[in-house]
Order: sequence, then structure tokens, then C-alpha cells
Amino acid sequence: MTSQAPAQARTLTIALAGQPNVGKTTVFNMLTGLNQHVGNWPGKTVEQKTGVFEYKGYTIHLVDLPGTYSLTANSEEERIARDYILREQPDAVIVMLNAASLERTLYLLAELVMLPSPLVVGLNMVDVARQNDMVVEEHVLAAALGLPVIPVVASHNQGLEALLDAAIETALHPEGGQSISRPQLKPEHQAILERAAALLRGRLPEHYPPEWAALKVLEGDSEITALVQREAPDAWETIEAWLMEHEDTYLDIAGGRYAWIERLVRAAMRQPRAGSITLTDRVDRIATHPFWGLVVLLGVFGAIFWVTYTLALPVVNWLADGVITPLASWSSRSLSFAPPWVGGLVSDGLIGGVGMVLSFIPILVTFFAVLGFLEDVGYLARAAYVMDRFMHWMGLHGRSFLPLFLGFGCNVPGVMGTRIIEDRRARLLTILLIPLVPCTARMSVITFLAPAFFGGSAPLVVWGLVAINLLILAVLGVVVNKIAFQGTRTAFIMEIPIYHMPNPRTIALFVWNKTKAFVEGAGEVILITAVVVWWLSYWPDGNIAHSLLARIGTWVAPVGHLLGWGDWRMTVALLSSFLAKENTIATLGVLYGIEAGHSLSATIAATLSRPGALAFLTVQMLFIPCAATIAAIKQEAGGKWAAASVGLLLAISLLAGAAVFWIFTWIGW
Amino acid sequence: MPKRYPWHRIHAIAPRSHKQHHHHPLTEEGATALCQLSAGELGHIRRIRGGHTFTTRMATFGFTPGVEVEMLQNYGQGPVIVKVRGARVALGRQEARRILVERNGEMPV
Repeated sequence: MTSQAPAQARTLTIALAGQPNVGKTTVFNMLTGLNQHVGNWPGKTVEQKTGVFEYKGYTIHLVDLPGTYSLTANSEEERIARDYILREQPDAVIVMLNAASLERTLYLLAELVMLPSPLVVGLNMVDVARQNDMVVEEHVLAAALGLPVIPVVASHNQGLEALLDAAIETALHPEGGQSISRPQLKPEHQAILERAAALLRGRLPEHYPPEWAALKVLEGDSEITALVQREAPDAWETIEAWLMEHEDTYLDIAGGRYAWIERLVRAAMRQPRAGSITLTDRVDRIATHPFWGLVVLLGVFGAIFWVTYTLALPVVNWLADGVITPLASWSSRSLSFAPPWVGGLVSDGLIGGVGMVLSFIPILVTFFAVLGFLEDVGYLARAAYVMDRFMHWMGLHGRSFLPLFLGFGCNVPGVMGTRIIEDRRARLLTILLIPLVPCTARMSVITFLAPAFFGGSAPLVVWGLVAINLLILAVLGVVVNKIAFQGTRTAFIMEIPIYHMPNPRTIALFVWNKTKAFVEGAGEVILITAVVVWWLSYWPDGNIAHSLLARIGTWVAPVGHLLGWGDWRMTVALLSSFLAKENTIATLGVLYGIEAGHSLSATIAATLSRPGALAFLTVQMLFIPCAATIAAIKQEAGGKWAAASVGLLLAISLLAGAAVFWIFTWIGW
Repeated sequence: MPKRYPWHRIHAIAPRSHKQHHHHPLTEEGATALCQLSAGELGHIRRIRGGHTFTTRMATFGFTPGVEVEMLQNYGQGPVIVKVRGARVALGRQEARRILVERNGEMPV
């Protein structure tokens, strides 16, 4: 399609826009593969993905804009998307539409045609549309829009080259397009719009087109209204007076967009027979049913953990026994010429820390893969819907369920996953609750220790401990909502996408990006803390019984007495779980020094009474978040909330532990 | 610039907490709250009862006056699923209550 070959490589910046559930991520992943960089938008906690690749002699910078339903200033994502287009002025913007949900997904395009960037339309999921008896004639749509429209099936890599060709062509000849069709207002509102635009011309910073700014002011956009009030107060007074006479202007703007969309859809799309029942409808009779939906969710839940433990745990054990331990002993042997502390630092501190990070990875990869699959198929939205009524008890709604769910894998991505919650209050409450979700690391500790302490009744104990965690989570949610937030809640509106075949590449990149973020974020914290804890256990003379750690342990041991365990080593093991939850076992191993012929579990079991052991496991499950989670909370909510979380969980865990100890001692169990 | 302008005035009278949502009657001006439609029923939106933020947010999901909506799932409590402009949208019960619709009559099965 590009006729002239470029003399030298040219760099083009192309932005990718689209509503959620239009397959935008798949398009981005297909085009960039591993050449993508995932970070945050400057100064924001919104994920920014960019990719650079060579295509037909061009260097393409592809910028994935946040998926948004519209471009009002209602959310951070929407502000970022429109600010990027206005300020950075990309050479072209690819707008993705979902052919199976054309009417709704055109709404974002109705906003984008008012911005100055050259547009190309990618019509995705034409296969899904066809399966649902919907046919979109793309040339009719293109003619009606006055924009190039390229049909694609992103999940099968069909049409993406044509889409890229069209984007390059548009970027090189932005003026070459036909006249673009734009939404209109009622005549009386159109007149106000034109007069307002005339008043604002030359008054606003250069990158705000006056027509667009005028439209946003009429729409009641808080950010642009504030800008106009600041930059052109006199113009604002005039516009405000007009708006007082026409209070329904903002409704007419949305209405005008949909009238424009209806004309396009009527021209370009053949609809299915009314009342035809699709696969999605049939599956949803069960998957979103108030009772059977819960049964399905519990089944999915069980399957996730079954898959995670059966697939990942053998790999974790192999890593520990087959890689980390030999590596540590090899390094201490080969460092025998150096002072003993060097060998200790390298083999116990550094390699131990790396091993800890590594041991997380198989579990996280499996968990994320299953989760990415459920997300890509379209199930997660149903899970949120089914849980909505229960989340209401805590003043939250269905959306908050997803990050809590993620927390079962690891609390760190759970905390970062709260970004999907628009309302700040709901988001903060969810962040506060996530550390109460037992993550895989904590589960691995109690599944190791419970059989040692309780033998045959171990499964009962494990279930009981998980139940205690979830119960406290629910109670805390209800209480905080009642006291701090006074029962307020925000609107629950969520799209329920059509079920579709998952795309392996999308899932693989989801796993890759999430795992990479974990290693980069939490890995560093874990490594540093591992070295610090090693130093505490070494200084001054290399004997742990005389170390600083032992002194700290002895100092806080009285607390342990209240909870039923007098041994300072148990307390130190608990404290070390601050670094990473599964550390408890490693620390116990070091402190009790595994003697020949005695397993660690038997040695520990002999030192504790049953109520004491139960109290220890309870505290372990509820204890302060691990260092990586605290770092994530600080990043997402601020230091105050991170401190509040630590204080709250410290209090809760100690109180619950004491309660368990005294109740079970009293029962005489 | 502490001037009042239309949407802020609407904000001021808009319901803010869920307790106040119950002030929205289930029928008003001969129209019914969306949450009263049973599964399979169709209706046209008459009006959305709420402030500027709520109304524009609903509009981005396709809920505007005059549009046809189909109730896909409603079990009498908890959230509902509605088909609007060809897309399935889940709505909390309180949100569905704030949308006034005119019933089209039962869908022939």
C-alpha cells in the first residue's frame, strides 16, 4: 500500500486506542511480541505499554493507550489517553472496534474523530461477529465514516499487516483522507458550540483545539472546564450563562454520538434475527446464576489451586534441591580461601535470596497462566458479577473481587490489580483487605507444618485457618466500610464480554509481563532483605545463638509466651516471614539445626503444645504483609496506608493468635 | 470561581449514598425502574435518575434516553445483566433502579 520506498528509515509513532474487550491487547502483542516495554505513565499508577519494531523500512513506535470507554475526565485512564493524543500528536492513531459489539465500541471513535490526529479503524473479531450472525460490510463503514477501515482477526494474526500499512499510509498523508463524518448536535446546541469555540479560539494552550475544548466544556468535563475558567474567565462567564439556559446540552452530546453511531450501524451492519440464542447466553444461564454460578466459581477456584500445586510444587522442590542447595554448597566450598563471612554472605545471603525469588516463580507462572486464560476467555467478568452481592456487604462491588482473587496467587499483583477499581475509597479498602487473602507462600508454610503438628486432622486445620482469614477479611471490610466510609458505595457497571477462544500469545505475554513485574519489583526487596537477615543472624561471631537475631528474638519472646510458644526461635521464624512468607520454614531449619535422623517437622512438633501450634499457624496466616507487598501498597496507596496495613495486621494477628491459644487451652484440646 | 453551573447543581441534589438510593420510587411518571423488568422483557429508557457523573458514565456504556434495553438476567435481588446497543452490561441493583424504562411487553418465547 505504501507506494514510495523511503530513502532512509523513518520513525513513525502510532498510538493504539480502543475500548476494553475489543482485542486491543492482542493486536499490540501480535505486533510487538517481546519487543515491548511495560512501565507506568509518568507520575501515574496506570500501566503504559510501548513497543518498537521495524516494518517495511520504518521504525514503528507503537504506544498502547489505556483501554477506555470514552474520553471524559472521569478516570485517570481517560485523561491519559486524550492528553497523549493532544500533547504528543502521534503520526497516526489506530482505533480498534469489536465487530461483534460494533454499536457500543464505536462510542470511543465518536470522541476520537473530534481530535486532530489522523485515524485508521481496525475492525477486530469479525470471526466472532460472523459466528453470532452479524456481518459488517467494512467498505460501507469506511465510506460512511470517511476513514480507512481494515477488518482483522487479531487472535489469528489476520489483517494486521494491512492495518499497519493503512496506518503508515495515513501517517505519511494525513491530509489525503476523505472528509470525515462527525457527530452533530441539535441545531440550538450546535450554535452554542460554534459560538463557544469562537470565544475560546487563541485563548487556550496551543494543543487544545478550540472546537474540542468547547465541546468538552458543554459536556461538563471537569478538567477542561477548570482550564477554561483559568485561561479565559470572561469567555467562561458567557458560556456558563448559555449553559444555564440549556441544561440538557450534555445529554444531547451523548445522544448525538449515538445518533451518528446508529446511522453507521444501520448502513454497514446486518443484524442477527431477534431472539436468537447464542452460546454465550446458554453458558451464562449457569455461569452467572446466583447459585450455580457460585458452584462454578468454587470449582474454578479449586481447579486453579489444584493445577498450581500439582504443576508448580514439583518444580519448586526441584529448584530447591537440584539447583539452589548444590549451588550454595559449591559456592561456600569455592570461597573457602576467603574469610568465613564472605562464604556465608554469598551462599546463605545472596544465593539464599535468589533461591527464594526463584521458588516463587513456578507457582506464579502457573497461577497467572490459568488466570490469563480465564480473563481471555471472558470468565473473570462473570466471577465479578456472581460475587457482586457478597462484596456489597463490605461496601465494595464485583470489581473488587478480581484483585482479591489475584491475591490468592500472590498479594503483590493483587495490590497492583486494584487499579481496575475506579473509586478511590473502594480501591483503598480493597488494598487494606488483600493481605488477609492467604497467598501461595503462606499456604505452602501451613501445608508443610500442619501435618507435622496435627497428623491426620491437618486438612481440617488448614481449611479452618483459611476460613479464619476469610472471615476476618469479611468482618474487617464490613467494619471499615461502616465506620470509615459510612456505608457509601459507587456504581457497579461492567461489560460482560462474549465468550471467545483464548489466544495463547496473549496469555503467554500476560504471564511474562506479570512475572517480570514481580521479579523486578519484589525480587529486589526480597534479595536485600535476605542479605540483611543473614547479617543479623551472623553478626557478631557467626553463631546464630549469639546473633543479633537471637537477641531480638529473646527480647520479643514474652509475646510468644502469651500466644503459647515460649521458644524464641519460633518468634524469630515468624519475624523472618516478613521478608517472604515461606521463609518461616527456612528459618526454622537454620535455627533448629536439622540433626541426623530427625526431620525438621518432628523436632518442632516436639517443642509445642497443640494449642500453641495452632496459635502459631494462625499468627503466621494473619501476620504483617511481606516486604514486597508492603512495597506494593506504598507504591499504590502511599506510605500512610502501608503503615496502617502493617499496624492493623500486627494487631489482628496477635489478637487472633492469643484468642485461638486461650480458647483451645480452655477446651483442653 | 465559585459560580454554580448546571451539572454541579445537579450534583448537589444527586443521591450520594446507597441509603438515599431508595428514595427513587420503583415507578415514576408512568415508567418503571429497570430493576423491575424480568428476564426477557424489553423496554425503552425514559430517563436516568442521577447526577451528571452518573448520567455520563451510563451514557458511555450505551444507556441514553430512548434506547431499547433487554433484561437478560434478573433474579429479584443482586445485580442484573442487560443487553443494550448489542452489548451485555452488568449493573448493580441500585444502578438499575435509577434507570426509568417504558415496558414493551413480554417477549414472545
